[in-house]
Amino acid sequence: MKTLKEILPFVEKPSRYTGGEWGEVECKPAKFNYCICFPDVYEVGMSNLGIKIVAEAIRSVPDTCVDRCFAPWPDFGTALKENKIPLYSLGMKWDLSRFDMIGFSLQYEMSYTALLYMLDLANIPLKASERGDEFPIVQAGGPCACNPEPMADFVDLFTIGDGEEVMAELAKLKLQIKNKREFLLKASELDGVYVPSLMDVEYNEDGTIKGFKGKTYVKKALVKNLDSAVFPRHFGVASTEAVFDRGIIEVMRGCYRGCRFCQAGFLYRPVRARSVTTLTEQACSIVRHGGFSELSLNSLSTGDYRELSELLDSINEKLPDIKMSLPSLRVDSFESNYAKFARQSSITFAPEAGTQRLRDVINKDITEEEIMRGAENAFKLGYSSIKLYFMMGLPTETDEDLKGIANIVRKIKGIYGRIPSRARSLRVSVSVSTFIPKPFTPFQYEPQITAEQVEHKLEVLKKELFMKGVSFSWNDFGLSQMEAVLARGDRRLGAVIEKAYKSGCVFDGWQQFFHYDLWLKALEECGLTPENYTREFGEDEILPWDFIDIFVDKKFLLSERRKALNNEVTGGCLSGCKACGMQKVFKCDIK
Amino acid sequence: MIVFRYTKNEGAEYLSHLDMLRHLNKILKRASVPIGFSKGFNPHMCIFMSAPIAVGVRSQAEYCLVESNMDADKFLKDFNDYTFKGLNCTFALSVNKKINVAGVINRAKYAIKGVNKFNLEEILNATEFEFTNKKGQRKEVRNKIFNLEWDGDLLIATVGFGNEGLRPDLFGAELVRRYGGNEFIEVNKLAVFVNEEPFEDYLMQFKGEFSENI
Repeated sequence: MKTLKEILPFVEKPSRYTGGEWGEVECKPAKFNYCICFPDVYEVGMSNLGIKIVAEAIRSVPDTCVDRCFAPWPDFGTALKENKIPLYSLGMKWDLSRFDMIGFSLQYEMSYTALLYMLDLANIPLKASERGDEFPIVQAGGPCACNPEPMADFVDLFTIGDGEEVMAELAKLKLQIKNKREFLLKASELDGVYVPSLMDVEYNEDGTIKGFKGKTYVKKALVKNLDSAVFPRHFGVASTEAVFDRGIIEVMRGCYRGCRFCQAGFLYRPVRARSVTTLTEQACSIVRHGGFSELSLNSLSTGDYRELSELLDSINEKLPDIKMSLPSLRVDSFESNYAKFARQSSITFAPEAGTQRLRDVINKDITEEEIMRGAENAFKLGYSSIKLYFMMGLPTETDEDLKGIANIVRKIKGIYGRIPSRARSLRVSVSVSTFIPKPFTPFQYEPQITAEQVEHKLEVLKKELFMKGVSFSWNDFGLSQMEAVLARGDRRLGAVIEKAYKSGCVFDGWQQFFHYDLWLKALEECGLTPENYTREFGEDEILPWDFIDIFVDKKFLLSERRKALNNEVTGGCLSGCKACGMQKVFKCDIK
Repeated sequence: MIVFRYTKNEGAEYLSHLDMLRHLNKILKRASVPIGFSKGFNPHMCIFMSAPIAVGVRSQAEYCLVESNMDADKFLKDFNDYTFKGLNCTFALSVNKKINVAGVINRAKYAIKGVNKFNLEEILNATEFEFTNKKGQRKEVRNKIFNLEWDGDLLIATVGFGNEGLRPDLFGAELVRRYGGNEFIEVNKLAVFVNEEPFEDYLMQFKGEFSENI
């Protein structure tokens, strides 16, 4: 048996496992000890803003302690197992099983197996039903928790929606109620809490859902005032370089646009923004405390922040040396004065579809002229590299739409050719991913395309995009298919996920570790096929996530779906309220 | 110009050289140390570190030169106010010349724990010593071994450092192979030298203010 000290020098990036980062809040045992678990590797987890917000929210409750833990890379995971060292937290170096509650952040469907992996390494039974009072309560939240059913077997309690307020409430409740069963029962009365053991699902003979029994209605948690919501005053600086080695502020939550494929666009409704004053203050505190040289202005569509110019000027005045990055900038909001702050050499646009007709179908209200104008602006500023994101397999898509992608590329190349004084030749990278129908979107009923269809579409694209200076990449179909299965799955998938994990699937989101064959085998052994979940869902069918209310009406989703199939655009919130349902619980700043 | 010494222990020994550079950058930024920047499209801080050591090797004697005209005592205090566990500044000196810390340091003294006691004369009196380097090749390195002595169970070894250096962990592994010892050996870097001269003695001749503007 080796000790940790004897293992660490021989694993990749051992500083992932040592803790002691600058800026991490010191952990001391308290009455309520919570460990945030991130089911992906350290560098990814340390870049995540959500877990930092949740930690801050719980710390605002007296007598609490928040520690953290990330999924060990396979080399270290194996070493822990071989030497019988249980998975430990980075702050207090406690075994995970010592905590009162451990909470997983579900950011991506393909990280589900990593949750099992972490429980397993911590010697905590995987199934909720097999865990007695001596084990911590296993909680999970994050965007993927909006359809919690595939993970229902393993998790005691899900938080759905905005985490900050509900997590603080849960901490207070757990301080009062020690007994697990009693706590879960009481917790389930809170908005945004789902306890799978309090609900049963009945199935029809064809495998569709017949109905729910027990506690069958769960509302998402909603933070009404983002400006006054908790936000960390400083971040821990990752020991080894994080994916995003920068300060982050959250400018807005929610998106005005309403793209019909976009789950985040519906899930995070309504749009709530922070004020320029608050954001500037947060930016200064985080950047100065961490010593960051880069600041990211996060939201689903930062270009839509109404006071963006004021915000950029205000931050620039206080932090003149900071390099600002604005992710998810939309083509039509890419104005020269924003771009000058970015100072990068590559710009990314996501037109998503190749023709105006298909962009209308997905309600991406961007015209080709706007794309071209955005590109021209960027080129004039000296950008010489452009990345374009598209999807294939969108509802109603034809070969013409795919050829449209190549048309856009050709036009962009033409524009670059007309720019005087260009130092380098243009590089275009086109990235096409397979459309995945996601819960709570108008496209939640749509089928996902099959392997044969993908093959044909790729053939068309490869031929069309064979151009000088253009690189074309696409993602693995098997991975997209499994993502669709897990995103739209029901409780029967619990057994599949467990089988997949036990046969060796973990870190499925990392291409080198994804084993399509093992997933198919796991499905088959449970009497299921991918098509059970990638097929078209009937509009009158009960969907696995139907018991959750995110305040967007199902009627609205259905009407959006019909409009999509008729090539009709709805537009976004900014062109007037579309009455998605949100207006019933929240006063949006939209007329 | 400031040359400073810092530690790499209590967890910080697991940081890679590149990560160390990133952290030094951030510490100096947090401490608002006035510092020179390179003049390219992507300016970076003028920080020059001594040669890398293997991940897992602890050290009391890492050195770094920064282009700053700050008072050295204030520098040391400010650095330690903004650093994290295991990475502490333990000495700082203003120098009048840009010293190539990675280039001039060519020897280091290590404490190696885990090698069974043996007669050091066997190596010191020999003219040859072969060991297996990182790539698995056998190399003749006797000319890189300058002194060996016992301090209780610890082997204190002064060997070559830097470009033409001898990795202490691999050297230790070779000794274990020959004379027995633990599978896992611990290495602690104690001091560095310019030939025979301790590095900080060498530095003293350059003590003073840097005249040019930074």
